[in-house]
Amino acid sequence: MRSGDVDGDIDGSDAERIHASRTRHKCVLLVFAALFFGVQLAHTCFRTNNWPFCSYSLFSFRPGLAVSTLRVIFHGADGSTQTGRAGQLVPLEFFRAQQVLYDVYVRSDDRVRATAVAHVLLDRLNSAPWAGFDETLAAARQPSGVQFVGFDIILQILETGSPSSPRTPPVVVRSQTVFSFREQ
Amino acid sequence: MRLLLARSLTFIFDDPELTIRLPVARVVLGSACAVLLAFGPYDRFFVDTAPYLYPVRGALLPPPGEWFAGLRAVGIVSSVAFALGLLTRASCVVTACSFGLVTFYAAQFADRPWSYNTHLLFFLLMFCCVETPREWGVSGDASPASLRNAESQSFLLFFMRLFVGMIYFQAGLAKLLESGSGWFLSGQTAWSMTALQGTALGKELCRFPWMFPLGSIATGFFELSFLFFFPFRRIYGWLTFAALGFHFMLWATLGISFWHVAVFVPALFGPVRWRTRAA
Repeated sequence: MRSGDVDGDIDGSDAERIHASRTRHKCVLLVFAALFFGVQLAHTCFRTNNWPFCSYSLFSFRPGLAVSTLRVIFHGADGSTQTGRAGQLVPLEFFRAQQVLYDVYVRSDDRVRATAVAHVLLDRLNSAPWAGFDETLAAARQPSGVQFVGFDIILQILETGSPSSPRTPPVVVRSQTVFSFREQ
Repeated sequence: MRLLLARSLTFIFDDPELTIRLPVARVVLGSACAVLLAFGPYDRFFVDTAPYLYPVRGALLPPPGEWFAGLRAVGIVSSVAFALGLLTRASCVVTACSFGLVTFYAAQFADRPWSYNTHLLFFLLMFCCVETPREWGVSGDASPASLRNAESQSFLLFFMRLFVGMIYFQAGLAKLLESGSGWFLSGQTAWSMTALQGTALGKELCRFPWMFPLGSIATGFFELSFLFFFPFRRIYGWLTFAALGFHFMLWATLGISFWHVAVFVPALFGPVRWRTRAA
């Protein structure tokens, strides 16, 4: 049934009541939409996030010629090492994985929590490595199947330059180990 | 002015494409939720790290426990049922509750998310509030559509379209507010992010730096203008093409597709034939 169809058996007063009811209904929906999207827009204007409302500010920053990032060095039981990204240690979207590692290992001094989380992450890596999907990277794996015994988290400053003065590939200008963990 | 108002109200409350768009949107929505819950980043990481990462102080809900996997499983089953049109009212409610809880918990572990997929949750909640056409569904029961319900259905379609347009607009506005026009004119952000974490193709394109300011300007134009093409149905096909091209470009260069937004573009804006009143 299309909304324009009208029942011909309705008398005048009923038709007026139905029309008034439909008008009120539409007004309620329009006010709801205005309020809802107003709240949405406010989150962008004030750069805040309150689940389930979001600012959608992914990549809205403008970095300088150098950017900081976290890298992970994975240590195998056979003495091998491999360098990877935060998302290969934490089974979240790559940008959230980086945020979790920043919060636990760079911004916080709580070494007890840092070590406990490291235990959990290493155990997960060895017992149930995850496959990649969309923005979630696949877990780091040893080609030989040898277990990991620890990892280091490295804070790197890389110079990428700009489109007018590019540095390709990016150059590591500073590298600092912020956390090291080895399974006993 | 009256004509503009009348046309606007018709656009919002009397959409001629309902019988095609809503079932398709339902299938897309249910499928997207099922895929996210089944393959997305919602596994036992949250249970294992809850003692250390879940913000207990001021939390609305207790930390996630072993029941989290069951909640996820319920969400997958109900969202598949919703996509198939099986007991759609019940399956929609269950999907909304389970998907909402799972994504709520995920959001507590990283409080600077930049981007959510909660448009899916809002769409589910809106679907819960209207009776939708049962075409393409498997269940035999059909609900009668009243005039008000038809208007609600049309509003639901309008709401979803507006939401998609607002996502793009907010993304563009966020860039403008935080970084100014320099975000688009310099191409610095696109350049840096592609150089650092882009795909093999993206890093190869870094050999042509001039492409990044151009790509950034095109991104800004697309994001900030998409919303304003809404009233012009005749170009919905071009809007769909532009949006899918935008998402493909992001995926090809950065490995980020925002597929859970992209899948709604052909569903809501893709070219369809509809019967006019006269026909």
